[in-house]
Amino acid sequence: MSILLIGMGNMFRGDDGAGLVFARRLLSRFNAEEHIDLEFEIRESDGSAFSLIELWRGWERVMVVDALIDASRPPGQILSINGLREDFPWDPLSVSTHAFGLIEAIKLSRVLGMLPKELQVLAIVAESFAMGDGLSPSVDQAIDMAVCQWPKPVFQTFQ
Amino acid sequence: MTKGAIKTKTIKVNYLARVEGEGALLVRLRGKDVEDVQLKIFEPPRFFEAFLRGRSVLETPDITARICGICPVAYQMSAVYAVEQGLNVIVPPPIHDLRRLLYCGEWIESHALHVFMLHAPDFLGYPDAVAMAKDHAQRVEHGLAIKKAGNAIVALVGGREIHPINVKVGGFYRLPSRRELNQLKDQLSAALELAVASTLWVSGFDFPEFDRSLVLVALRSTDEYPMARGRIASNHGFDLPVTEFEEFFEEIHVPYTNALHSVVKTEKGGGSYLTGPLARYAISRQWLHGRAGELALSLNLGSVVTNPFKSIVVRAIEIVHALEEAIRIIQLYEDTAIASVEVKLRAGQGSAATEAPRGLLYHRYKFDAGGIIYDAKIVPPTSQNQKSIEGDLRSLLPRFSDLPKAQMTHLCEQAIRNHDPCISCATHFLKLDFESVANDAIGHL
Repeated sequence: MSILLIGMGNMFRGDDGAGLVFARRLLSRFNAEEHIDLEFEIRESDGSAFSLIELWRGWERVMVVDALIDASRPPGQILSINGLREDFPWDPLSVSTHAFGLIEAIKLSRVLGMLPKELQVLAIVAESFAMGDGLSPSVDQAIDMAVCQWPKPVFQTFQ
Repeated sequence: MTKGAIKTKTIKVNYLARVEGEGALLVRLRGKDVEDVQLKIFEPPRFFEAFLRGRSVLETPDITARICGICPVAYQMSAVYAVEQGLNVIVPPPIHDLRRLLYCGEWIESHALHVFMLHAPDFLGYPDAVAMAKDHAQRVEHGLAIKKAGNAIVALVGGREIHPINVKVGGFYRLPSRRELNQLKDQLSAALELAVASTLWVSGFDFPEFDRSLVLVALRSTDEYPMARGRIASNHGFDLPVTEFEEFFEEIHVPYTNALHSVVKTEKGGGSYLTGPLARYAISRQWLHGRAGELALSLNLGSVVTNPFKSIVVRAIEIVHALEEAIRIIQLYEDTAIASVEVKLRAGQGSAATEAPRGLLYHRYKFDAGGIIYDAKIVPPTSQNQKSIEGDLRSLLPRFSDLPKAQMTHLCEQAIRNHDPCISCATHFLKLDFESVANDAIGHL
């Protein structure tokens, strides 16, 4: 079954580029190996709500990878969150500086009936959103490990 | 409070949503008198003009596109036209038309975002677009479809939707084929019908009774609704070539904000001015395309729209115009056009102004014989509009000073959104402190 994986973020704001880096490294691995059972389509997004809605419109299974601000968790930890849960943890995911981001995309899609049947959010705990490209070492290593072990889940289910 | 004291109040709104960028507004009222209005932009300076020093003029479209994720095409257009003016590079009409098509895409997507998602909820009494969508799902879907049509143009002509990469000094890196452009036509035609219906929808909103006599400044062209060509004109008699921009206008530092205020120089009459849809409409409404012009007439907008709250209607009409213009350009496009013309570097100076969705965007570069920039100046629309936005609030508040604080606060936010400020450009979120100062004979706040 096809799954749409969307890496989102900003490459020029430090760890905010984690979702994009994850998507690119996974795509590289898929291109290098042909053993992946599941059929993935990998796309990138700047994280605006409209871009996300247009990307996942018509898809039944979607995975979004984004950076997460959560000072209570170690940088590089990857959390899996059910994007369709009514008690979606909005605040911890408010990493976007855009007026309309992932949260608004989910809320608006729900109202408009455009949500996929399954929406998994992989949230990578960030260390820094400082200006400039490049990930912090902990985030960089965590993404490498997750991509290397894919599709074996290396993330924790968000409670 | 001491008996007989003048009641003063300071109303604070700490976070103004639905604008681009980070900032704040402070309003202090004494009775019905406005003591102070400060549009504070606290987003740190981004130093793009300094970044450009030491870089080649050929890099300007890619560097300046990074100033804004909403209007990167505007930055690219002002950059390339400024450099080309300085290098005496004349691009052939088909390239100019394609650039105009790309600009139409940005107007459509930027205006659609503002009209449907940021501003319409104000008029219908919703806190945001998500809440509005629960009752107006079809309208929101129309907005998404219109925006998508704009995105499609930018993606094709610009190379990608965000921060386009296909624009170069002298033309484009790659031209779209006629076949690729034709594939957009059905989508644009469908969006046009939605845009016409949406204009009628927004024109039926309840607009606060409010009129302002503003100095409106926009490009004026001899044969088209302005985007990238023309002289700088106003409804108050200015008419100057873009090369004289800095002789008429100056940027001044204001202590409470990180964005410079652009004003008319004192010796040229002084004061604030407004750029953007209201200015373009006042100066060039005769060049609106058929259906956009018909809408303006049928809605009795008149020659100048003096109520800033009706900017949403003008913005909707500009969406209609941009869609008509995009369809026109695609119909006339011929595959034989060359992608770019030769560019010979030399020492010089070049300037250009183009019409970003939210107003006039001026660029000026000075460069050496190798095309290396040693001085750059960029005046974004929000820098130019800040003082007029403050002026709107100064005029508006005394008339509505009896409103409950929450309503007055909302009115202030709505009034700011009338001008779709982009703080990312001016220096990214606006934080609004609307203070109602209670000051009695003892003098406490």
